[in-house]
Amino acid sequence: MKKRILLIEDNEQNRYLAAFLLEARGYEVLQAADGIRGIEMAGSLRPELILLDIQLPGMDGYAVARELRANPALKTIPIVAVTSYAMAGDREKSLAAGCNGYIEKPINPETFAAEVASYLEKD
Amino acid sequence: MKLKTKLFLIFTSTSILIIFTFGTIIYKRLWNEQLALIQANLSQQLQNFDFSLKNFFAEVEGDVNALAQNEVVRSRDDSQFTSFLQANEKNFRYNYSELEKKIIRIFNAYRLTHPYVNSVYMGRENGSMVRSHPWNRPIRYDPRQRPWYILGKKNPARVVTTEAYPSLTTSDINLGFEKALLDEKGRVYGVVGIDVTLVNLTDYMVNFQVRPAGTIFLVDRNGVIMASQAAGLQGRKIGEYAPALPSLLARDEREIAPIEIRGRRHFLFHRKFAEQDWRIVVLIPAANIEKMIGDHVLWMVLSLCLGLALLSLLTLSGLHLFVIHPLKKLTEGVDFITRTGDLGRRIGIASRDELGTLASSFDQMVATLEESQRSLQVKEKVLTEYRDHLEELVRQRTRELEATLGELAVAKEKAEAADRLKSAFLATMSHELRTPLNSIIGFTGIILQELAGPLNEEQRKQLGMVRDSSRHLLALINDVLDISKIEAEQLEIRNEPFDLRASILKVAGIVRPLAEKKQVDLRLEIAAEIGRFSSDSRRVEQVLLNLLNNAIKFTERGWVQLTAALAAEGNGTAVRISVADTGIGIKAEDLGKLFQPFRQIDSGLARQHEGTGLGLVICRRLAGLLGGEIRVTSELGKGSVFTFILPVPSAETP
Repeated sequence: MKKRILLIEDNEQNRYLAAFLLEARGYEVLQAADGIRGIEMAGSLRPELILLDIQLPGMDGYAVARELRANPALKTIPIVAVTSYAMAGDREKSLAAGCNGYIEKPINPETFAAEVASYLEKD
Repeated sequence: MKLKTKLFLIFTSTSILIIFTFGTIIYKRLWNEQLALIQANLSQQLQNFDFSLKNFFAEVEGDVNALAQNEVVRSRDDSQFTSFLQANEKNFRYNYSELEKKIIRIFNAYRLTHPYVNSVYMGRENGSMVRSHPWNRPIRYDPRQRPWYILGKKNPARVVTTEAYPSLTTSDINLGFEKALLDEKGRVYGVVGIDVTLVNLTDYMVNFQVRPAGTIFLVDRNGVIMASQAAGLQGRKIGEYAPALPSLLARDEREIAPIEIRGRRHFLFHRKFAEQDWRIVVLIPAANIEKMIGDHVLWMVLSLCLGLALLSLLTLSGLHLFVIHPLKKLTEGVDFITRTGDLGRRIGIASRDELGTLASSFDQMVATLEESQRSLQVKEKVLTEYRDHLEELVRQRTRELEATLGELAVAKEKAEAADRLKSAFLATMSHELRTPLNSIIGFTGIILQELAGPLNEEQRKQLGMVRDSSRHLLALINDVLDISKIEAEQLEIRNEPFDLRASILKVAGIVRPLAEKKQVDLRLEIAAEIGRFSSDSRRVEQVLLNLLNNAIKFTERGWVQLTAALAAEGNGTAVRISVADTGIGIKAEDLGKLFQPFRQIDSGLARQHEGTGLGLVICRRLAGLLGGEIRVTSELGKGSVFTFILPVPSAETP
């Protein structure tokens, strides 16, 4: 059975890019364009891993992470923040919000899939 | 004690000392002078006396000689002359021969014309005796037995004088002048004599006044007093008057000898008469001399006292006028100011002496004090006003302060808003720039990985160029953002343990392809102690990557060597990582520009070495944020050495 990864990302191109790279490695990629939709999908579809963009319109990534962690059913799903590392404290803030890891944008197409895999293997 | 009193005492004691010293010296000098003066005076007078007496004697001698030469007197026939050999008072009758009468007339004429002559007489070898006037009571008398006759006969060649003898008839002293009568064969046949009374002489002598008053004696060679002012001493021996006198008289008459007579001190002056060996003796009581000197001294001392008193009086008046009075004025002025505190008072002494200067200095000082007091009063007034208005002032200031605080709060808010805006801008920029790059790099990667289908060689080559360019663009964006974040103090620095050796190897791995492409030998020399340290691994790697990239970029041939080791730095230990190359090097004057933003050293190769010129600036800033620094040494044409010092906390164990 293919492992399911939920990708919450507002930029369509980036969503497509990440999904393409992961699907090319045999993962099933569920896609959400905003935080609200992402939380719904996480609750209903129960993915093995969530890739969460931080710079989201409306509800930002930190809020989404906190919401996900607030649901006991979703507590154990690893969340990996994907962000264009920018301001001081970004990493700490994402970890504090409940993320398990942190992948920097722009992603490296050669190593991205391997990085994601490493978080799945940690379970 | 007052100044005047002190000075008066000084004057008095000095005066007493001067008077005493002066008086003593004067007294001694006067004493000696007075004695010498008395001596000289007496000598003069006695000399005159001596001279008169000599003249007198010479005259009498001449007279005797003349009588002795008289033919009548010299008559040889003396058989008829009066003889007293058998005479007595009862039976004697004068019976003169003509010759004798003639002689008596001659004798009497002489006697009566010379008042000092007592009698004129002549004795003959036959014992006869002729006298100028008859005896009152004729007695038996042999002239040949008499001393005067014997004396004259003994000295036939000249007139001789007898010893002085008291007159038998008067209280006089008599003196005989004798001359022998000689026949043609030189035999003595008689002696002619004149008896002279010395009454006038002794009167003169006795009435002779000496100053200071004293007692005068006339003494013959045997020490018999012939005349004296003291009554009843005539004919007595001088030794009876004062036992010490005879021996003193034997001494030098120039000597003034002191002598004690009846408990009183006297001074003895004496002089010898030339022929008769007589002596005039003057005894002056010391008390009389003292009195005389005392008068002198008294006068001198009195004059001196008067002079000194006058001097003292003048000095004290001067002192009063020139010192005490101004001092009093000064004291009063000072007193007044002390008592009343009124600085308006002035002493006002016009004189130009020291006290005048003192007073004017004092006045000046008081004026200065007054001035400063006035200015103090003004200041005090201002202060009082200030104090009175302090509360108001405090309120006002508080209002102002509150306003300022409000402004500050607003400003702070504004600043914070600006800060937030800046941060937001940076974040947006970061995100917005990366998002398209994410796509470019991502899809280029996907295509190059042939995940979307196979590529031909040309496509692969061109897409590789796209990938390199986009990576380069990403690096540029990262640099600009890094600098911006550092400037905005937005850069996050972590402090976590990490494996430095692994970091170095990782960075070396990244740059190795470039080095190999340029055929530059990349050497690593990592000391054994380089292991795990606490710092921000990401930033450390960023610095190392930058340094290595630069080194390889600017080296055309030769090698680039990274050396990492622990070293003592400052007060602690640090990791020292140096990157040395054999590249183009940097001019000494350009070393300073090296770390300025947007500067790439103009090497003529600028465009050959692409980059923002921000790399070294970021490195230095990062090194600073990590607590370390970057040093550089270089030689143009030979190469450069960049050294990254990364301090290691002392508690840290590798």
